[in-house]
Amino acid sequence: MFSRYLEKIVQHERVTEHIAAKHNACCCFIIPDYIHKHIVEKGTEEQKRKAWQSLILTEQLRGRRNVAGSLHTLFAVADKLHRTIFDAKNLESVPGKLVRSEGGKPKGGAPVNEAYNYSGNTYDFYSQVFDRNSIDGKGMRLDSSVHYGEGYNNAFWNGTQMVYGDGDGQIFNRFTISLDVIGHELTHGVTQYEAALEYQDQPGALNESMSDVFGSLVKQYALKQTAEKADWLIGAGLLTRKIKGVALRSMKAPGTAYDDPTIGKDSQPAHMRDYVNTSSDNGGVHINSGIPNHAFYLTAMEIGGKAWEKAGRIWYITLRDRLRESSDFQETANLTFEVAGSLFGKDSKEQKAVFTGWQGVGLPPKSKSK
Amino acid sequence: MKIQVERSGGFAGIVSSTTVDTQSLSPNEANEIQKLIQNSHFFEIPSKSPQYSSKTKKGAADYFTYKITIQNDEREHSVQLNDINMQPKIKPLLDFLMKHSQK
Repeated sequence: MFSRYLEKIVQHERVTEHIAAKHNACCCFIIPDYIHKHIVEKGTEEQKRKAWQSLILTEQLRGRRNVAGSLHTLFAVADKLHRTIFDAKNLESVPGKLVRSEGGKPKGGAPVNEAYNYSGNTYDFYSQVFDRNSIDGKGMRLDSSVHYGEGYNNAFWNGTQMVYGDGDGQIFNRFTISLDVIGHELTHGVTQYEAALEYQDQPGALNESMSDVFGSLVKQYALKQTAEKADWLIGAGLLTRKIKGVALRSMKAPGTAYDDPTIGKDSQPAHMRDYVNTSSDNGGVHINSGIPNHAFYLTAMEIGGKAWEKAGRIWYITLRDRLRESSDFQETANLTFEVAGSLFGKDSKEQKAVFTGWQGVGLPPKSKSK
Repeated sequence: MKIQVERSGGFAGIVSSTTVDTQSLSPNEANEIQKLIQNSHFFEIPSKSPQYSSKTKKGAADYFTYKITIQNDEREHSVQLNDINMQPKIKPLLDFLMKHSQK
């Protein structure tokens, strides 16, 4: 089956090359992209190379620019850390111009090198702590575009890569400034490939919370901090000195990160009784994430020591193996409790800590006795 | 005519909203905004068409979401879109409104 596809691709390559050479015009393609994609992901090195060439040729003939960038973004090609940083040149278009590849020397200013270094920290964290090979678990290349837009006050994950604005200098500094922001964005990729939590209401707030949890753990791991020593802040350094605030979110004390006339007050709840019902922000995904964030913080503090070793592992396994697209807070409480039981034993200190954590936000786990 | 734009989401999750009343604009600005609305074919864009809905690329996160509402003597219409499914024909109108909100 597989070799038949390969045959077809080789044949297809010859045909397209021939047509392209002879007519220098556009033509139809018979191998669907998903087959190429399958081969690029699962094939042997030789098959990967062929499928890769074919994809690039196809894309070039379709008249797309930035072919290598967009294709690399889509498909896994490496089995180890591979980072690529692009400069969007203040346009709202990605990826932009390639400025730094894996192993390349630092150049192009702080955003380029922070995006490079901090995505490396994030890769190392997932690899060394959870034995996970990149975002998709298969060595996906980590692509980032910096200098997106003009004074753009945001960073986002577009489904294939990270995108960072420079900030306006009034409210926000550049969005590459905090390691936990980069860990947060990359974790959106991990969630996409695992639980695929829907970006709406409670599943969306869990999606956000997972990014905050692992974003914070990436930072704690790099600094070798215990739960007691960590600041549990998300986006420390991101707000300019003109703004009254220490960060954008606090997992330790949701609702206290900033309070300023320009941007208002941090409105995150720390307990289920304060859950915010809103249609903005996909149902308040960045607001209600305060609840599961705080549950994680309480669990990690209850266990003590390095948060990534136990609490982090419980959350990671739950995200990877147990949560689904539509999982809500209560289900997550129940599942982390079950996972803690299977990892560390029923009624273990760790499992009790998970119970205490969720109970502290008004969501005591309900265990299904089997 | 009143134009309201609400921006929500983004990494920070801070909601900001601004309203532009064309009567309070200079004639030049009022003309410009009229032209931008015309060019975007705003009133023909369905509020909930898949192209413009908040449903966007699977897995994407932290993008800004915008809700633009225009109200005149005859009608009121809202369109929702975000950074990922942004449509070129409406972008100049959005840029004008966002710039105006910073004044």
